[in-house]
Amino acid sequence: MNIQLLDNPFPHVLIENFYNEKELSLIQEEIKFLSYPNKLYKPGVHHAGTEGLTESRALHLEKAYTIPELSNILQVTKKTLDIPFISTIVNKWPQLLRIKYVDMIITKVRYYHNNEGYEPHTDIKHEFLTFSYFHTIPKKFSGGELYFPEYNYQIECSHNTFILFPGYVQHGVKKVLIEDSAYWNGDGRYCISQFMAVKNSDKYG
Amino acid sequence: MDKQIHQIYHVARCGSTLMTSLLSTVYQAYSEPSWSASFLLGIDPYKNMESFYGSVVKFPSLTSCFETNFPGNKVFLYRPLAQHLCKIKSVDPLWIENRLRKTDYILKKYNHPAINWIPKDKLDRVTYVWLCSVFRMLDSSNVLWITTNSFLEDKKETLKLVCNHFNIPEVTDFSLCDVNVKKSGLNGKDIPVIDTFYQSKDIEYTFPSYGLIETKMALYDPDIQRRVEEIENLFPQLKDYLY
Repeated sequence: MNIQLLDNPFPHVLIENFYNEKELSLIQEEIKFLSYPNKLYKPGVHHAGTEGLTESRALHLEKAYTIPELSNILQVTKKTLDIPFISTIVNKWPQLLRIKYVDMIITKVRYYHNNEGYEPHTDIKHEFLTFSYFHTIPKKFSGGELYFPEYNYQIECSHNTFILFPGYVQHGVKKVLIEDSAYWNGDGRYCISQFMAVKNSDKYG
Repeated sequence: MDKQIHQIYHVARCGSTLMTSLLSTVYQAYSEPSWSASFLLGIDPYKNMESFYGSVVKFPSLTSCFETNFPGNKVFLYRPLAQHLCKIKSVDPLWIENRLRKTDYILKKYNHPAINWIPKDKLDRVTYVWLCSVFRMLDSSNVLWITTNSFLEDKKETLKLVCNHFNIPEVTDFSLCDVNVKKSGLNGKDIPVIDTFYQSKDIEYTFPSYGLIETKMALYDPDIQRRVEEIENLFPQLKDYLY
């Protein structure tokens, strides 16, 4: 795991090799299961995304699983709120204190195939966003970078990379380009997104 | 009966309960039984140990601050100081307060002679306990030193080393690996750990790398970086244990 807490161009955490071998295996098992036809939804269906901004398909996991323990991904992504990790973020950036009180997370698995990206937008309803990226090795597509147009900044989104940043930061995904690959082969870019919010802040004074 | 105790010492919040739980699948293992806190209560620790001969006993973390001479091999599970401070800064403040009260007792009555340093604040006192444990373990013999990260990164290989050190059968059942053992109420019981597991109604699972802390991450906290550097200057002989 290679962790970086970066101040510029905005506070964000970037981690390469975020999940360990066992965690990756659990994630990939579920991604494979979700990659069969009709398990990921087009934008506008079952909270899968905003029509007009993307053509990529997604699944909102908390809606799909009434028992979260049944989802490997919902179990393993608890790692993003591991307390020492969150404490370190707050100790470095006191202005991000509210991340300690996150009590609502929406988790989505999103798949980008050929010619699919996400137009720039903000997720201002959510205070923090995390994205983890997965793809086949070797990588069979180009593009798919996460970019931040207001800052002229982008990250490559290589396999098992994780990023966390505040929800007010505008971001988009550059179009993925794949040659000669059927959609359900899953040769494109997978992203596990977490949208984090503090729903009940009254109890924290 | 084998008049030895296979002893596990540790620095707290470092995976020792999980290690004891895994050992309990092959051997009689206790996690901080009431007798093991004798040092902290000012009671003769050798008085009630006979019934634990031949077992694995995980001691309360503060016990490693005392000079111990129990017969048998020892394991010392620890986090380097930077990782330890990162972990402790993230735990419930009430737990730390409770621990600090006992720290004062150690500082006044059982200070290790190598520590000529007076802690100034709460986190310094946490550091002091860590120092005391490390110095006591350096003084001790037959100690297998294990870092938390090496244990959590490869539980099977680490347990092989521990079982070999204790000369007990090797652990083969790792199904407890991802259990959040802190939520299973295993500590402080006078019955073997595995029996407490059997009595537990709900077992909570966590993610596989739970507990791992990278030094690089810990040092992003400027407060931790400053304190570890101070300790490195004061105790250069401990440099290998700090990061």
